[in-house]
Amino acid sequence: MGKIFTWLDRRKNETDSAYETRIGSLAAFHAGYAFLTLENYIPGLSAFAVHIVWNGEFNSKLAYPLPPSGFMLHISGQEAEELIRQHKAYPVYVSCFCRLGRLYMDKLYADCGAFDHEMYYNACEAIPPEGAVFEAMKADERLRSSGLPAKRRGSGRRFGRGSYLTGSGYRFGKGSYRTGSGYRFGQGSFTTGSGYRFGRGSFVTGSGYGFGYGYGSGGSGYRFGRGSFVTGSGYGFGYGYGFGGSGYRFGRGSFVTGSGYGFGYGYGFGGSGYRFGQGSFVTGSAYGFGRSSYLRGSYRRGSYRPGLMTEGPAVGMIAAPAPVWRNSSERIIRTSPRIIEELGYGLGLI
Amino acid sequence: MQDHELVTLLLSLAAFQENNGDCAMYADETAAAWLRERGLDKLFRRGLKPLQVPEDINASVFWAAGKLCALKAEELPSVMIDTDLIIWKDLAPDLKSRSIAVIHREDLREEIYPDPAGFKMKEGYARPADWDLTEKAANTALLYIKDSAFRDAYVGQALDFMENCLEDSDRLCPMVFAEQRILPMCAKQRGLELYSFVDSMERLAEQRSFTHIWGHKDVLRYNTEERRSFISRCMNRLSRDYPGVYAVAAGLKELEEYA
Repeated sequence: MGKIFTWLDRRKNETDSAYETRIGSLAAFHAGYAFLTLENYIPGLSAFAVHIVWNGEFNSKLAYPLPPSGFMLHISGQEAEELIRQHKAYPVYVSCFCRLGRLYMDKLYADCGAFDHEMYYNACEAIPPEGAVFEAMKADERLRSSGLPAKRRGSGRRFGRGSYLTGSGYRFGKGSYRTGSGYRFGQGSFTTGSGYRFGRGSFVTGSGYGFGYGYGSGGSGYRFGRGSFVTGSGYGFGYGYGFGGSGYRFGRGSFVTGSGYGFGYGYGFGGSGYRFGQGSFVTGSAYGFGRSSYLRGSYRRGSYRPGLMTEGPAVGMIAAPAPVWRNSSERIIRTSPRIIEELGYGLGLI
Repeated sequence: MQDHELVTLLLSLAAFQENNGDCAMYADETAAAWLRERGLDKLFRRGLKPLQVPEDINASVFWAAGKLCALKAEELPSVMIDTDLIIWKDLAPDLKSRSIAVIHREDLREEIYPDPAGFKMKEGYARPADWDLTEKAANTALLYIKDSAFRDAYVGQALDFMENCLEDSDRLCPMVFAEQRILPMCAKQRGLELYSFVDSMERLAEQRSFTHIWGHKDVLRYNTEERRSFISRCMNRLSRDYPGVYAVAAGLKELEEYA
């Protein structure tokens, strides 16, 4: 293992100039694995915050060993959904350059099967995947050329097991409940929205009420880590999480209520354009209930009333166009959710 | 020191000496040799000054202990600034009626400023009973002290803490406690006001007097495109406003590709 990384070592009697030239001519190395997870997808930016497990031998050769988090990969919601659904780690390739005898990362990308996706560091925080079993990796003895052109897959949305969706033209996998037309979704997921991102345990209140063991929030454009609870203009209650408004993204266990009521031990949801992790439950502008939930009003405990859920989210994955950055500094600062002092300030004064 | 750190140091030095006065660099032997090798010692109008840190201070935990030792040796009144801070204005109007000033205060976030009772300390160490642990921390990327009496008290308490601290793996919390929490507590002990140039964290983004690289250093380390862009901007600024320093920078092997 790792024989190939010896190519990065300086050879005996190799001059600075020769070393730099030789390193610059090497193709990218298979240096790690990227985890692209639902929790780390930011719909408003059409991007993953990527968690990477690095090959230790490779990383030790760099002047700045690469961190496991902080890398961003831009991809449409639809394509992200496909990658998440495959539930695997994707090989990461890194090309290097050399300056004054020291090695630095130049470019990196993830090999996502049909196409490669370039990544860049912007200090975004990625939640490490749960339950990922890391086994010692063999160094990939094949070198690859970088910059393979992306190939686009066909469009379409599909729901996996357990999804519940209302709307028109949907196609559901096993256990799904179907009305309407034209959508395919990955397991329990679709995305919309942009804006805020909360770490684990965030609690925000909005114009409505938020109750629960977890967290509450209102408004729009939020992203919550695991255990988030949001309420919007209506009420959200639950042991888990509650949510309202539009454009939210929740990690596993999210609970959302929209302009109506959402209750549940598990998850409930209202409004439009939401994305949920496993076990998510979505309702439209009417009432939504999760398992063991009940609502004061027209529904009884544990019941689903699909007939009333007529205004469900109109779309699945929101393929928001990638933001246009005027310069690289703007891209760094605007995409990072870290607080201002940690990012530095006054950089534009230079 | 890497290329982006070096160019930041040069811009920081150039801007300060233009707006505020002559600088000295406190450096240990290794750093002093590095600076002399590159001709950078001549850029500091007050030259290089020797720096020694007590050997019983754990250098890996207290990596900024040198700042306190430099402060101890420096004549007062004096301003001490981090090498990744650039000051674009004359500080004198703000400082004329002050005895202690920092760039800004910081909230006591648990992950950065935990209860000091949790630090492992040597037997017999007792922190001052009149430290007010509710005082917000003070970011000392810029620190002004007028009087030696306060300086001696602050540095004394900080060095005492560092010399008695047994932490050996946490490279953040003990250091920032020593440098950035003891300062405001010491000021409060003596009934001295601690002035902040920027009065709230929210104002940091909109103010136009200071550039602090801070955590952006991580981006510069790991994002080659951003690092190259940053260094180019710094070199352009040096070329435009500080041609004497630019001439030195352009001759450095770390920066020659940007000249």
